[in-house]
Amino acid sequence: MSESGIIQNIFFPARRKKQLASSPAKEKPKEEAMLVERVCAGDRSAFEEFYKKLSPMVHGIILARVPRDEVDDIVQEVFITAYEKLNTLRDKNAVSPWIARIARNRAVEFYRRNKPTVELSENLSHNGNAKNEANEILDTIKELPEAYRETLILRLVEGMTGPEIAEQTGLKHESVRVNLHRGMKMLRKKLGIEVH
Amino acid sequence: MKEDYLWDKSGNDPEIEKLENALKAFRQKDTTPPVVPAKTSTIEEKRNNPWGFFRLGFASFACFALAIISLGVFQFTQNETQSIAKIDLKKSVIEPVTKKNDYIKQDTISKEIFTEEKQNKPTVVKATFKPTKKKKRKIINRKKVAKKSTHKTAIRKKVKTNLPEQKVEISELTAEEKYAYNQLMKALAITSSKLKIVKDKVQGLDNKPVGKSLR
Repeated sequence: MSESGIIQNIFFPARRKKQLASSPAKEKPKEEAMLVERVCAGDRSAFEEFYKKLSPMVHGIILARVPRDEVDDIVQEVFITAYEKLNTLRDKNAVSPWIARIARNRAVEFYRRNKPTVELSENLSHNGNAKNEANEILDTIKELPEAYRETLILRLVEGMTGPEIAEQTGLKHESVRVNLHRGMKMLRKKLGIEVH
Repeated sequence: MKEDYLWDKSGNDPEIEKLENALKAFRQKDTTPPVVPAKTSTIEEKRNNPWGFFRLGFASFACFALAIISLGVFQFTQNETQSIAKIDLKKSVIEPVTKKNDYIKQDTISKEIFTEEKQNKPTVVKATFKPTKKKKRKIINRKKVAKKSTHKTAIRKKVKTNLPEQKVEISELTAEEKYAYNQLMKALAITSSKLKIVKDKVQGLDNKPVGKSLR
């Protein structure tokens, strides 16, 4: 056990228990590494499993950055790139932060290759629809700072919990919690009356 | 607890639930993975790759060639150093030889001097032993006895050694002595020339005008 862990056990036993409950089990990364090895060996079913597990996170990261129509294509590109370069990955346990980085880089590349476009609001065709409301919320989230935008989309759109976001993106639990809290506060402020 | 629901979906928060329901529409619908190439280049495949073998072969050949070149260069440099050392040694050997040559030259000079001296001086007469008639007879008798005896050669040798054909020669000088002699001769020549000048001056045979000397 690390020094900080011992100190936490002595002074803050309750917090430590809570953290252990919320943090992912230590066996999980091992499972992930085994999955990666299977994918490297050419197991197609393993790749499907890999895709199902990580695609929501990749989708959320890209949705936070690029127009909605382009998201699915870029997700596919990200997974193909990951599949090709999976052998070069040194730490097999850190595959999800690695793929998250690929997704972020791919989103940046999208804006380098293509000229910036303006999305037409669906309010023009369907007024007062539930989808319009969703679009508005999503557009409002996209106006938030990048850190809040990504975590809020992963939480609200992809339905991931805070610990899952922390595990898959490689961020600390504390920073994910802060991002969610502050992002939600800003979103409430921006949406204001409509949310009530 | 509102924050708990936002963090790990524990408890209830109608606001967030409403947002979640609204944004569900943007979730990833298509969960089929992309079509990827049938095989990936794994480490094992890379090992079996013929190009990998070629690379290995090329690398080993390059190493071998490099080793040979370095060995050749090393030997070449060593030979050079050895040749330089040999030359040095030769020089060290040659130098005394040249000195010897000098000495030889000096010897020749000294020989010439000696010949001149010989010409001036009376020649040394070679002392030869001329046996008398009685002694001649004795010798003949001895020879006869020797012929009869089995140890002919030994006696002959004795007879030969007894023959008084000794030559009295002038002992040659060593190289150093000759050199010293030469130097001495030069010094004498210089002093003689100086003495001659002094003598001329004393006798008034100098070419300089008298008036100037008076001044």
